[in-house]
Amino acid sequence: MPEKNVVLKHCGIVDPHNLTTYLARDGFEAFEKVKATMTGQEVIEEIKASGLRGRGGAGFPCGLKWELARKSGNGQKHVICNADEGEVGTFKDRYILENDPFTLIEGIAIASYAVGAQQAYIYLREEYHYLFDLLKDAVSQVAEKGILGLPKIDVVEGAGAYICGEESALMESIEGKRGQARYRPPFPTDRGLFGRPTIINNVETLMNIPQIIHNGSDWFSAIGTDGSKGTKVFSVSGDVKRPGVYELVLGSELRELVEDLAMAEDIQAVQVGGAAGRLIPESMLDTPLSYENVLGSGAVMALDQTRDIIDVVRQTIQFFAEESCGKCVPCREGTEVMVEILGRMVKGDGVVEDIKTLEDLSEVMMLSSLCGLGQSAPVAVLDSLEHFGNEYQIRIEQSVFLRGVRAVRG
Amino acid sequence: MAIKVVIDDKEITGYAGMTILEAAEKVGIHIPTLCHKPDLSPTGVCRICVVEVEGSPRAVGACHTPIVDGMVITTRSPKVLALRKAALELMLTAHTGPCVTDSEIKQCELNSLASELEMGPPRYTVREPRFYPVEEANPYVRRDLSKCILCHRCVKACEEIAKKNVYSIGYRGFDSKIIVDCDEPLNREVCRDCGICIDYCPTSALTRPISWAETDEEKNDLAGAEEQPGSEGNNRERLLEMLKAEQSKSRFVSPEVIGDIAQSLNVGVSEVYGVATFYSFLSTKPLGRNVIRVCKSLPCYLKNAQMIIESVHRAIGIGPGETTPDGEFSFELTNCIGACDKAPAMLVNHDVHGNLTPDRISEALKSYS
Repeated sequence: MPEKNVVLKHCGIVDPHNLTTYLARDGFEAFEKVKATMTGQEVIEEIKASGLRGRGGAGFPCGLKWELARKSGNGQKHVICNADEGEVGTFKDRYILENDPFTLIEGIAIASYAVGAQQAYIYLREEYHYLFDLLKDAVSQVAEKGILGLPKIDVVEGAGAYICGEESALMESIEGKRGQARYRPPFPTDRGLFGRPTIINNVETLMNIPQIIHNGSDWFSAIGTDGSKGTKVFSVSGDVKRPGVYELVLGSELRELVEDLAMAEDIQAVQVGGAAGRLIPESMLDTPLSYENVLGSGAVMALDQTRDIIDVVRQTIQFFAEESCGKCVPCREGTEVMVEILGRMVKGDGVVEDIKTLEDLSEVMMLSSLCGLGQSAPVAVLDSLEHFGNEYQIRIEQSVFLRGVRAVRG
Repeated sequence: MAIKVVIDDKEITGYAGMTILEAAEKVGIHIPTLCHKPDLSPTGVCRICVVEVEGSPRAVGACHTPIVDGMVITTRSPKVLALRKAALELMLTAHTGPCVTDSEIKQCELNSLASELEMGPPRYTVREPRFYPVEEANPYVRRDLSKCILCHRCVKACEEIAKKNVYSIGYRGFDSKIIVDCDEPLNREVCRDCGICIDYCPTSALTRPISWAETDEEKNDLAGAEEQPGSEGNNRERLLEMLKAEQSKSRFVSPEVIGDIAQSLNVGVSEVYGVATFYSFLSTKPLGRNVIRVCKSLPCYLKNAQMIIESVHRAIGIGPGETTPDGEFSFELTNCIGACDKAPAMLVNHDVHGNLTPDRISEALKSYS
């Protein structure tokens, strides 16, 4: 089995309400090691050598991000933990926060040390408000322990907006504004939160940090594939018998996850990476889960043979239309146009030209939207056209027939 | 330090911080723009000025992207032209009004741009084009928001030049709208003797009322104008937190509270309303003592969320978007709440209820009433 616990090592073992249980295992030893024996730059070199890449979906090399922020002037800097897990079908960060907030805090402490930040934030989505007190309590337990060199950590909460998981919108939100994306450059590592150099890391990315420091970058980079080191925590939902959270070595096959572990049957397709993710047909279930192939946020949703793919795509686009911040034209208007087309298609009122329009619009949105939301919104559309083009053809033929019937009936 | 770039095969030397647009203009290369004005800070929202930059996987906005040494830029490739046309086509799609054909009210930039890019009529359709009644309440500015293309120029001009902060963006996504105060008709004395927003509006969404009879001298005389608070200031970042506190205390944020918060943080009222209408857990209308949010995103949808929505409807007698007459429950639909392993799921206030079945709904709701 490709399962391996690195990120979830302490989940279910430490008591998330009791720091002592974390300290009794190797808690905060990595942070102590870093402070005693390494400079910030050395920590960064270690993380770079580990090959750790961001786990939120974009996969940016973690050490490089830290280095950019570290080298960006000598002033105040910020570390943000992105706990705004909004990608459809993703709940692995919720599971981590519920079970092991202390490793996360240690990861934030090490990140802050490495980049030279005294202020850190955990941005939690309001949908997870039930974790707010747990997190705040964990932060204060750590602060009261008298561990030297900790950054000040504030737990801040969103108010319901998927886009705030996008890093620039997230910073706007912490600044008390509408969660609208910013254009880049400037990048956050240069001018981020309150105009200061900032790193934003996903919960799971930061969970890896203490383990890498403990065991060394060689240990970490021995796990996974050439371009995808370590493990990945997946959230499996949809048409499976055993939905839940699974941690797998990167490079494991999608089939192992959905069929062997989550026990899906009769699969038609799997959406990997949530609404912004890829739609993988059954024939490609042997695809490895890796940055080189398909990964995203770790959301894995199985669709069995009974599902209407076009309706799934319509739902996905509807989601983006509702969650678009509305700032740039291609995303704000493009998602709405796509909802109109796919809505007609599902109702049996598609036309041949719709396919070309969807393709053209997809390209425009991917190439010229301001942020990742608009850029990835058309992925499901394009993947479905590629792998399930026949479904669209059938639907359009039915539409032609139905329009004929309607015309005859008057 | 001098920066060398190549734009359309021409070598150009620029300076750090210079945008691609500025560098192109320097050598007489015209890049069309719409949301950009040289005297306003760029927003990058319209995507008309996109160009190709070698090595960049995506098109780049020329008005906000600084040049970097060695950049190779193409401003008129077929791909770039197609992207510009598409952005314009999308703007025209949802925009109602005869703007493209009617240039009587004032010269319409959308119209000029459409001719420049040799555009035909838009191929796209939307479910409901934006339509708002014409607003004549203000003796100084007439607003016809059906013609608005959300370029943000009025917002920026009012904020950065007039320094009045009358406008903001409200709501989100396709519903985004340029708002005044709590989305009220523009009827501000502060607009007297100003009208800068009208000059910056590219369409005829903002025009002078027929009765307007002022001279340019008067218009530009801002000395006597009442100054509105600027958006910089202390504790600005507390805005969302304050709105959330008010939401949980009063179950909505009222116009009065929005006014108070705006005053205490020294920001415009429209700015506060814009934030309040952006986030789905904030409401500008009173909600019930308990808020039910049934998840309708794909993992729950696949597990028959529709049935749960109907069951909630039966249990409390109201549909999504409504509040029971006794004020006990509000019923809303929400996007993914991250409880997909327990689909179908809902939030009641901040409690998760998962693995729902129709017969469990009444039971689950009992403990709240």
